[in-house]
Amino acid sequence: MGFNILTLITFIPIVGVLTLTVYPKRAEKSTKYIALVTSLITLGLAVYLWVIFDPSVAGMQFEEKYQWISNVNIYYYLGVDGISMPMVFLTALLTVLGVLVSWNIKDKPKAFFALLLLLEVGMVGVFLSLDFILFYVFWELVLLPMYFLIGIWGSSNRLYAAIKFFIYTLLGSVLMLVGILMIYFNSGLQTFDMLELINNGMGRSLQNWIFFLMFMGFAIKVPMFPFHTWLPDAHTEAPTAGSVILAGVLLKMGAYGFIRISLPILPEATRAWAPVIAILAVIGIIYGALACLVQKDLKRLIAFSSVSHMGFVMLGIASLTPTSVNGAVLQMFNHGCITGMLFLLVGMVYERTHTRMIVDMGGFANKVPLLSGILAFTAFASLGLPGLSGFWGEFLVLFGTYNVNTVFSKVMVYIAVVGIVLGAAYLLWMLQRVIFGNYNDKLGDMKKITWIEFVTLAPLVILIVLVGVYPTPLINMINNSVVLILGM
Amino acid sequence: MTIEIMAIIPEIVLVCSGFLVLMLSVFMGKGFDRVAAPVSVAGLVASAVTIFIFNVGHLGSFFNMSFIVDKYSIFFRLFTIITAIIIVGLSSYYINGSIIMKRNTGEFYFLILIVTTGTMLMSAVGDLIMLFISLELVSMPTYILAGYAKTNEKSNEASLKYFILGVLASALLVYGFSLIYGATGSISLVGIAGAIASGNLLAGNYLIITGIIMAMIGFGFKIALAPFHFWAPDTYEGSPTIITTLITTIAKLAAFAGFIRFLYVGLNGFGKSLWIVLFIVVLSLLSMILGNLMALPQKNFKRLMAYSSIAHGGYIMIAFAAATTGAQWAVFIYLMAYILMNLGAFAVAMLVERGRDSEEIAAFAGLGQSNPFISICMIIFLISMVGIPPFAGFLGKLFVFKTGIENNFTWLVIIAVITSVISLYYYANVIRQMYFTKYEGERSKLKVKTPVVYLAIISFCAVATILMVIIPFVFVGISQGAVVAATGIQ
Repeated sequence: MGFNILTLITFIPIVGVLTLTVYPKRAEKSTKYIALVTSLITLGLAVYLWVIFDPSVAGMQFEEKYQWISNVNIYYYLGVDGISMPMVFLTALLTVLGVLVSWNIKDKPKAFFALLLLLEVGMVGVFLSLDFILFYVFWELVLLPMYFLIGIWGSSNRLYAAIKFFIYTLLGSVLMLVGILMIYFNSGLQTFDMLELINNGMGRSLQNWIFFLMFMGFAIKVPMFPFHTWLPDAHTEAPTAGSVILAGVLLKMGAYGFIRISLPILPEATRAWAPVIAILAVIGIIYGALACLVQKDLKRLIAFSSVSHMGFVMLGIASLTPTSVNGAVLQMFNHGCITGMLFLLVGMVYERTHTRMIVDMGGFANKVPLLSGILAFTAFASLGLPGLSGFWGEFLVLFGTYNVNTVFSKVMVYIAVVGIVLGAAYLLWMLQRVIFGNYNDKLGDMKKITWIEFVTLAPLVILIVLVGVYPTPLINMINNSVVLILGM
Repeated sequence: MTIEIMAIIPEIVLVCSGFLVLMLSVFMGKGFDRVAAPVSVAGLVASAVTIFIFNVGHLGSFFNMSFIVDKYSIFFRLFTIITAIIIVGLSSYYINGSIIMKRNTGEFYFLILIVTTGTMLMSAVGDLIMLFISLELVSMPTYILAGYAKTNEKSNEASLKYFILGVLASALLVYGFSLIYGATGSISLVGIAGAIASGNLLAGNYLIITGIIMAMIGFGFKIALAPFHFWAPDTYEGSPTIITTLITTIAKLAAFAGFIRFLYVGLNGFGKSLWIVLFIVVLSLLSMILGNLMALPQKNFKRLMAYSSIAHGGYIMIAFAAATTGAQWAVFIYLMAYILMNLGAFAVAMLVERGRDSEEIAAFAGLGQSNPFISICMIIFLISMVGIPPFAGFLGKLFVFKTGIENNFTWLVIIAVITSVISLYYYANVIRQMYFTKYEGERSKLKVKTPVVYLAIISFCAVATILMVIIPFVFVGISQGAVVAATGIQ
């Protein structure tokens, strides 16, 4: 390697942020081009990384390690493997789409795009860092931009949602910090190196305590069932780009933390806690789906569907078999694409109708056939129609969990299947109410889909079909690293 | 003998420039206002230069072990001077903006220079008497300065409260010192350590522990730790903001500098005794909880900062409870970070106060629109105080928490992290005003005037706050070297 590609991917957006900050206020209208170019360069690099990435290698690739704070063994340590690779790509892609969907933003575009790019730095950094402190720095870096995105550009109840999001997730992450420090001292290794720490010699009861602290950090981020209450508010109030990135990437950070940290570093505690996680995950699946059925607000409905879908990810992780964890990672990727897309679509609908209430909608199929078609397509992907990407993740999770072959795991699968049925119910019912029926004339005429909107949606449509039809390369890539992490 | 005098030339230079300022104010008349700050800064710079000439490379203890020149004191004195330069830099615009403040400015600068001298001496103390004198040299001028806005009732109240409680604290401190002297038969910190090590104590451990705890109550007052914090909110609120800045930075630095010497040099080996650790833990716990909870409902920015500073004191105390070498440089890092972000935040607050005639948090409304640069810097300072990376406050908290967990205070650290989440709420309140609320006062006051000096200082603090995390080895290296020098432990 002639250059440090991971550092480049992580920090190219910072260049964009700095350019934007010194950009003259008069030319604020052209800031979107800077944001687009920066995010496209990052995406290009991410694609390039995927091309040169060797999927047959299970361990870390393109590692970069420099000393950061010598006397406490803190390193600037980046690396990518089969689990982080899709996440990095997803982040880069959704950021580009986030810029595109905010193309016509009027209110302070300069600050908006700067925050969006800053957010990207944090998210990519989380997926690439292999040093705990570095990981934590990136993890927290995400909070502030998101707080402002919700607080400034959000809808009516934004202040409440913004501070709730900020405080809730900060609470989780500071507890995680305590966990990190406990690992540092109790592992006997005095290091923050995630890979080195896999061979720690911590006892079971200590692991349990640390697991609990880390669990709080990750579970709030995912969010798992009792800790999910920040999510509907934040998703609903955030601007479209914010919701897309929240659902698409931020939630994945929590699940990624479980896979990258809890599974390999705290294996015994993970096994001990797995049933609890599985139960919470299944409650999340059912609860999220039931909550969707009663939502009146389209955006809130999709927010709750995230709770349900992330339940599958957590169930897959809790089952601790390679198949189910593969499914979980795949589901993370797919959920990022599909839910990201649903939020994009809701944003587009809102721009036309200025309402998010399902009651006010109806008959979109006649007015905007293409938009309705894409909405239907995404809804089908979301409910797990075979042939579209949403199917594979859920299938592998359920298959892997069922294969554990205990009564407990089977019961979990049966309940989760009910969740899928409920998922089909609320999505189809939503479609019925939104695109069929009579058009509400109060909404006035609806604009046809614009080419920018089409460009925004197209890559995700392609991805959903591609992964749906031929998921093997992706699964292979994930599988190698998952097997290594599970130590099988 | 000649060499001994040379060791304190930096302080002598500073006192002399203080008197020079005083003289100039008498003889120059109206032209003085323009030269006051430059002359004071020149004095501070000269003092820093003399540190490099007469102290660096001439380490040792002087005046019968009462004045110690080591890396620790050199570092501390330089840092104090930098802080003082910033405060003097902030003074001129602030003073000239108010009729109440704009008189006897000569005395104002003179007193600030004397406080600085006291803080510098404090970091170099070698015995209890020097410790007490230095502390009074810091305290007395601060009492006066707190009441500097003579016709303002709140300022009078601030000064009086600060004075009465401060004197009480000094009394406790000196009484504690006398008990320690009685128990060990020595006033020099090294001598006390020797007596403790040899176990040759009058009345066993009881006398000395009583003495130490009384002295620590005294320090607790000066640092403003709960439950000895009652003066802080009123004094912070009532004092002119520039003096509030001084109290939270230089005066605090002095108390901590002395406390570190006292606890780690004087009580070396005694610092881990159960009663003392317990006492520190209680101080820490109460400060974190009370400081953060009481800050929640505050509407006045300075009161908010008062409670926030109590809370920060509580966090630092975790490291004191741990009482290891690593813990001490955690204290250093934390102090550096705290002072940088505090100076920055107060600088912004002073601009807002001058521009909008209000010290309320509500006065920050709409600042994000009208003054984007200082608002972004303010976010950096506030978020840094919460301890969120990538800002200096995070580094301080990281090291403090790390030493806490290393020494089995995990439960205390968990309380600390939870209270720092609470602190996010009130710091975010200020951010909310700046960005999510519209300014509803007069239109002419919307855009706050920003003199170049302020912009320079605010940017300096903001950049330093970020650099501390990006290139921490510089700061960690400095503080580690200083701590090793102070305690002699590698």
